[in-house]
Amino acid sequence: MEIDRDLELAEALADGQVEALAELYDRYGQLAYSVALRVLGDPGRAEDVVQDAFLKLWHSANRFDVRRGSLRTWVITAVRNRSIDYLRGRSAHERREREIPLDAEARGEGSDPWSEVATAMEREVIREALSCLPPEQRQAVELAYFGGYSHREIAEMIQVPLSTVKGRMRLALEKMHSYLQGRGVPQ
Amino acid sequence: MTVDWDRLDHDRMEEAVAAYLLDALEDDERARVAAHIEGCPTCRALVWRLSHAVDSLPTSVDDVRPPARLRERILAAAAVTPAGEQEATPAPPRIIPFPSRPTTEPGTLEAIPSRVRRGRLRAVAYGAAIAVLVAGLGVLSAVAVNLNNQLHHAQQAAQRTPPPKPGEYPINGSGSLAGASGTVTTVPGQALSVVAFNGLPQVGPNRVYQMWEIDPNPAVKAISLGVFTPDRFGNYTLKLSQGLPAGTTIAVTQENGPEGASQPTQKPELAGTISH
Repeated sequence: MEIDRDLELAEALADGQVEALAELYDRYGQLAYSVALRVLGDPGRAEDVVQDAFLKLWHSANRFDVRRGSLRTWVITAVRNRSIDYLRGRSAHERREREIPLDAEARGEGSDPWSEVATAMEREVIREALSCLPPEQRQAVELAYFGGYSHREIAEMIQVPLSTVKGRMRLALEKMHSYLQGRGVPQ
Repeated sequence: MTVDWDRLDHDRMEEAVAAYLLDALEDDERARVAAHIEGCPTCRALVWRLSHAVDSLPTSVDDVRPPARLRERILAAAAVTPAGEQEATPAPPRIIPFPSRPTTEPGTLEAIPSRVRRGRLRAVAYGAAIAVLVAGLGVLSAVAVNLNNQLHHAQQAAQRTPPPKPGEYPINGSGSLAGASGTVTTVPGQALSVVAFNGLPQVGPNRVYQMWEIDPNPAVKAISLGVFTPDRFGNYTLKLSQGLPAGTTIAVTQENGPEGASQPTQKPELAGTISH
């Protein structure tokens, strides 16, 4: 069970075992770096942000709650948030983290070859799901998630009402969810 | 006609859930939406559905392999800073119980492989640990109070004094180890060093890597710091419970396993010098 593996690893991290941090990095370091690079577009800054995020997780491992999401989500959210903070010139303490709801299902991934193949296949399906979205919906999602813009900033940027931006975001995520579910990408 | 204010509020909040999950709300609105979600089963169900899409977004990016040094940097930095909640009471100091060659070498070594442990080292270490425990039990109780006081004062001092900046020194490969590299991290004033390697090729049967501390004075014999085998990715991280003086060279050779050699039998192809 991924949840059990996540719990075991989180406990080892909270216990201060550096080998647990090594395993966490081996599992999610590449994805974390890829996300940071996508947001920042600069390999040096991406390295700094990933290091900062992993050390932050190392120091706060006892805060991990498996009911609120997987280790993967925890790591990637930390990296994405720090990348956006870096991009927008915000300090980490200015950010209020979004709480992941308690009934969000935990999901993790291993580093074995099958898992890597599955991730590559999943990546293709997710890209298809994004490319199937109307351009304006995709734009709203990408500006928010990878650009760190608020819905208000996006509305001003593309000159549409705030409610339109919210609507586009919701429609985009609903469509993506249906597409991913229909192609068996796990929740 | 009466206005259903609860319904209106719910509709407004529900409309903002996607923006909330995409981290696109301002702080005040984010807090209101979060509070509403906690108490609204309909919005919680919506969060669950839309999270599927949001959580998939990172996987859509181009897969880029990070430089190997990033792993070393993270592990080296973690090894010299305690884990756990920084604001909370500091964890008790960790004991490093696995001397690799306890009868001949100074210093102790803790290996941090990703997955594989060396059973031989464990057996030796447990034996040594039990012996030390039995012999030291009486003494321990007598000095416990004193140690506690010292620890308390040390912790207070640590809280007042900023931690010293670690020094980082590269280890470079050559010859058959040209693709390998590493970093030595030392903490000034502390008996702690971390050596991290990457890109190490797997050794042949009955062969091991052996790490050496080489004094700048050629008349002084090399000191073995232990034997190891890297993980399947060619990585290996070692924590030494000793500092490394300036001019010391950390070097790696391949030797016969499982014990290694008493002195290097070949010119090291992976080495780096501490240059404080």
